[in-house]
Amino acid sequence: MRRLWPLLLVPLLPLLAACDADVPARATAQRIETRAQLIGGPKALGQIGDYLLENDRIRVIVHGPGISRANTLYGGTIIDADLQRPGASGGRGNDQLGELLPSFNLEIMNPVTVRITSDGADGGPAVITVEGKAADLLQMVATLSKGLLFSPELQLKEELRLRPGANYVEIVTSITNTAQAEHPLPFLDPPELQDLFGTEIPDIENIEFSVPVGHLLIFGGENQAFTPGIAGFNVKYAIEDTYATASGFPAFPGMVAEYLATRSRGISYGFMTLASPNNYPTAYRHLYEPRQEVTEHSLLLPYVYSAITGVYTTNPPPQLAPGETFAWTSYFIIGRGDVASVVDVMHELRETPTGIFAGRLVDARDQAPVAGAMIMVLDPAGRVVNQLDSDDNGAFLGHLAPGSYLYRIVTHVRDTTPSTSFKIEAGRTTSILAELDPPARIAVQVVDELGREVPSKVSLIGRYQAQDQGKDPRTFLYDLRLGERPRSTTMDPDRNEFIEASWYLHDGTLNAEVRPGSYDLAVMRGVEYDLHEEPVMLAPGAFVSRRVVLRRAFETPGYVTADLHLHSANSMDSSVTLGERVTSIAAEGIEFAASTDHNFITDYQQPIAELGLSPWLTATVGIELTSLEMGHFNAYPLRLDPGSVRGGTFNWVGETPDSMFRQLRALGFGRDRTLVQVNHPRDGVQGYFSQFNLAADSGEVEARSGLRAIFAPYKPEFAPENFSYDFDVLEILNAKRMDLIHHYRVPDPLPPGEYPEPPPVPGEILRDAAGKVAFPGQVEDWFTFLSRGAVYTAVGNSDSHETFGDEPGWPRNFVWVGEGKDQAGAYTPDDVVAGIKAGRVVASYGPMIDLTVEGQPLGSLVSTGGSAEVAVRVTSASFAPVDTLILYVNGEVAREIPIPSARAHDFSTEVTLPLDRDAFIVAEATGRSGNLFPILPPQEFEPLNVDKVINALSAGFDLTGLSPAGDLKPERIGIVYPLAITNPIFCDRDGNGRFDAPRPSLPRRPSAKRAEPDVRATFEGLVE
Amino acid sequence: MKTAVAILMLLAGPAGAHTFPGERQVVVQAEASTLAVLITFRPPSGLFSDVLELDARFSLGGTRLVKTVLAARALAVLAMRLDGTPLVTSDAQVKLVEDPPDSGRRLVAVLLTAEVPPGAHKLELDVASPVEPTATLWLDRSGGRIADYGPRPAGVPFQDRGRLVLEWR
Repeated sequence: MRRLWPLLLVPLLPLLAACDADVPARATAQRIETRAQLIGGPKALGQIGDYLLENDRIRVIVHGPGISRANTLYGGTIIDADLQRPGASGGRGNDQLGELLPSFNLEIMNPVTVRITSDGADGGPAVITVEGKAADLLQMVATLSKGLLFSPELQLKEELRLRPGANYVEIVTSITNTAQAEHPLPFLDPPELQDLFGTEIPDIENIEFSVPVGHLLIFGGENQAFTPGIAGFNVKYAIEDTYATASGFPAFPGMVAEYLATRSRGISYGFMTLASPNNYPTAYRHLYEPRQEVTEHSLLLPYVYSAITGVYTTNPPPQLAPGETFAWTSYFIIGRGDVASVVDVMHELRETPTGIFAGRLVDARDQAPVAGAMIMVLDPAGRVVNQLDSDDNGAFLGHLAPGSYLYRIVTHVRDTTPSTSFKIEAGRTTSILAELDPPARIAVQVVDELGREVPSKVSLIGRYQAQDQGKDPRTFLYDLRLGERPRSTTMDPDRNEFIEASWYLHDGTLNAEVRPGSYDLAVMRGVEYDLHEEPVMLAPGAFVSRRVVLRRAFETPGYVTADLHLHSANSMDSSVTLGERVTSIAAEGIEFAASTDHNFITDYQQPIAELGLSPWLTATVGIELTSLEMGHFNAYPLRLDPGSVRGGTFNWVGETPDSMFRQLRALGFGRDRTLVQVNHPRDGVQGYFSQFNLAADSGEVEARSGLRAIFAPYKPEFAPENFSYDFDVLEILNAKRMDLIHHYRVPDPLPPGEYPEPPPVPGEILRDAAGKVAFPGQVEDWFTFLSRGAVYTAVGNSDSHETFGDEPGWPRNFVWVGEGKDQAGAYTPDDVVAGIKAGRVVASYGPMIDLTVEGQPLGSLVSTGGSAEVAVRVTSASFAPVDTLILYVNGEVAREIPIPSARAHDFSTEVTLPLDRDAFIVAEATGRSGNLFPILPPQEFEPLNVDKVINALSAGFDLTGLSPAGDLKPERIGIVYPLAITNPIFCDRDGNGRFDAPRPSLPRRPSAKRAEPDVRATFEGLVE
Repeated sequence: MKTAVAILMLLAGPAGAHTFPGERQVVVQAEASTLAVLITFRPPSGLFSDVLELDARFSLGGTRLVKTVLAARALAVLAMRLDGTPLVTSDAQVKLVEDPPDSGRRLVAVLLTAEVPPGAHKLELDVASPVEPTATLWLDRSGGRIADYGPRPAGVPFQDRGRLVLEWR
């Protein structure tokens, strides 16, 4: 009977079909009242009270008004978007959008109202209207932005229209001049801007400005951005490449493209416009061409910064009359996962005649379908114009404009196929059947000395041709335009290795397809195990298996390794699932992890249990409270609120540091059990110290001057007195940012170039004209605090957002948890917190340092008298040799001890250090000649930074006043070398039973009294 | 009757284009010797609000009935006990306002006051399965009298159903 019951439905099928056919497609707009209306997915942030726009094809959620719980500042923005999917109601969808919001030059909208202006009941489009005033996205550029737009006189509005049957949202954005006078755009001319700045900007009087408007798109980390033409999937670097040839104002720098799309798992997004007389790139065509092709529906992409893609589409009129409104229209498209499904919709909107390009991919050996391959479509000049995915049957289909094309097929386990030409005719189908060479297959079992299958990492190391050494690997090893996977190289002129592929194994077993070739099999497990390498030959269609025993390099009794700064897909800019994240952490030998997603409280416990990783990994719940320009702050352990879309309730917009620290402790267990950690404090706009202009020598906030004062945050929360020292932990090592560790020193010899007088002295710390450290190091900041009696525990964390190339566990911390307790299950998060609070932590890119003074460990207060007996042992695995040991006393180098190569992995010494007062002693071990490749590949390419954008923006006039020392600046790319630094041991020389800091205490101001809310005052304020 | 239905339809028509869920916020303010509870309630759009609006416009009593009905509904899901017995209030005030101003959307605010004599006391406030989204939080203006609390620290709301516990020292 069980098998027969579906037959009972058969008579009903015509009825059901008829029902379906009879119900007209509808679009609706509604306020979300139940969780069943939510979309869900890796980046979903919608909640009850937001607005849902949906039709028979797609669903979109618009954030209600007020402070944003998404990525920027305010609501009224599109925060979730998905296709309609069977069974996806109640939050089981696949949203991978971060946010989409309008951008008026450099301003965004702070909505006053979000309204349903048409609910779609009439069968027409459903419309949600957002109205508001302009607001600074970044306070740092507010002065310039105000000068160009002068937003106080403008009313901003955005209508989000969804038609029945459409796979796109039509976005009508407008600005209205509410003043009684004409409103010029730009509002101020260059001399007036100079007056506004109040400072001399050379050559600015000759500049003509423009005020582009458009949108900001924040794609979830799962998305690969794509534009046709010069970029393909290489959007980020292609934009940077255009800076080099930027003509300067009035044309904003950036890349011109016909559309912007993404590719991801099961969903893709697109953004485009139709032909318009107000098209921005067209208005300045002469400044973009001939280097870039401009059409009447081009977009300008000026930057991709921290997952935010700026897209300017429109050039508003030179002035708005009183009451005049200027509007423009854009389209946000939702596709099925590949670029082609977005472009198909674009063709419909632009009414482009098309033909069909379809086909099937099979494996040449067994004719099995090849799923998940990318079919890259190129024009005859070799520029990438479209991309299609093959489905589970190896099939693909998309629409192309008539013309001649080439296709290439990209999979990660085969060589990309050569170009094959084909033609498309309007209304006709062109089909192909492609046979692909088979990949090889490798199986690996990884065990430890006890025979246990251990979480570990496996890589295949290839070698490229010797004649390619010294070249940019993007030009010969892989093609980012085609979406090929980057393959890290050594960045060493004498070594031509590259990493073909890597895997993190949660159970020590690997069974995977690989691109055929001759490789070294590299197996590793973090810093405490030696690297295993052996050659393997992987022929097409061949199967190779290996069993590898990993050997422990050194013991760390009483310590566990901890990474206290980790991201997963709950962060907007990460694609790593929770399962992938905990696997990668355990495989890197990390024993304790704090989940710290951007503005999201995450718990790793469930994936740890599901993957059987409990014997290897313990985790605690945490967060990285992420402001746009005040810095990033971790807190752990926290409570998780399962009823909250972000795991808890918090706010950073407009808040002072004290307020944020207070909120973080309230999310956890109070000051005693929850730690607040300042992350990457010198990392430019993301750095707390940088943004408050903390002076490295004094540890105090100082006023800025000149251009640096203009391009700085200005609102009350940034007042110098609001800087707070009330945190517990300071991240001095972060990711592969070797440039942020110590003060930047002038290269020796000084590179050729123009330098201000007096010229910088090679080997010395670089200082600006005012004598301030030009590029402060986080270690020296920490020393300044310690020397002024402010004791923070220093840590090093990976800040890993992805896996390979952005590995977790590098750097990491050895944290004391207690004798005999360093096994999973034997210690608790509270033990780790206690170890951190006690300062028994070594931050490390590989080596371990055992430092004692008079036999006492890290964090101790030791009664020493006039000298301190210091004992140091440095141990490291085979891949992390050290060559130098530095002992610091009160932040100054007291001894620099060379380590002979024969003892590079196990070095011990005892030193007597004279003390003339109370002191703190810190040890640092480095191996600058080492290269952690392939355990940890180098930072090969520089992520886009503000300097580059400013340089591009300033083509034609002089903004060098923003740069403290001309062309001299730290190198942000390079190898990662072994390095470890201890926390201090405090020496009580005068025997008074405490550590007396050598410098005066930091100014500890009383906490600013918050204006506490009062319900009685609120009630009194209500007017009947 | 036909006229009333016609008026109702006229009112309901435009309102149907702007649907709003109801919402309720409960703020318990611990004070040195008293306790203030502010409940704000916004009814959902729909027939209920339309009937109330109709009454407010056309009945002789003006907004009195609307105020009473909304205040009753604002309090309907709440139960408060001080030291295990139902809370006795010393004062209760109700206001009916348009929020945002001139929006036509009604919001009722109820301010309750109760005495909290010196010494240890325990307040329990239960929110029972509200239909409308409900946020409940507490504020501490007690001058250090709050010894313990649950489930959230001061100023941090919990949503919908739950129990707030405050203990005075």
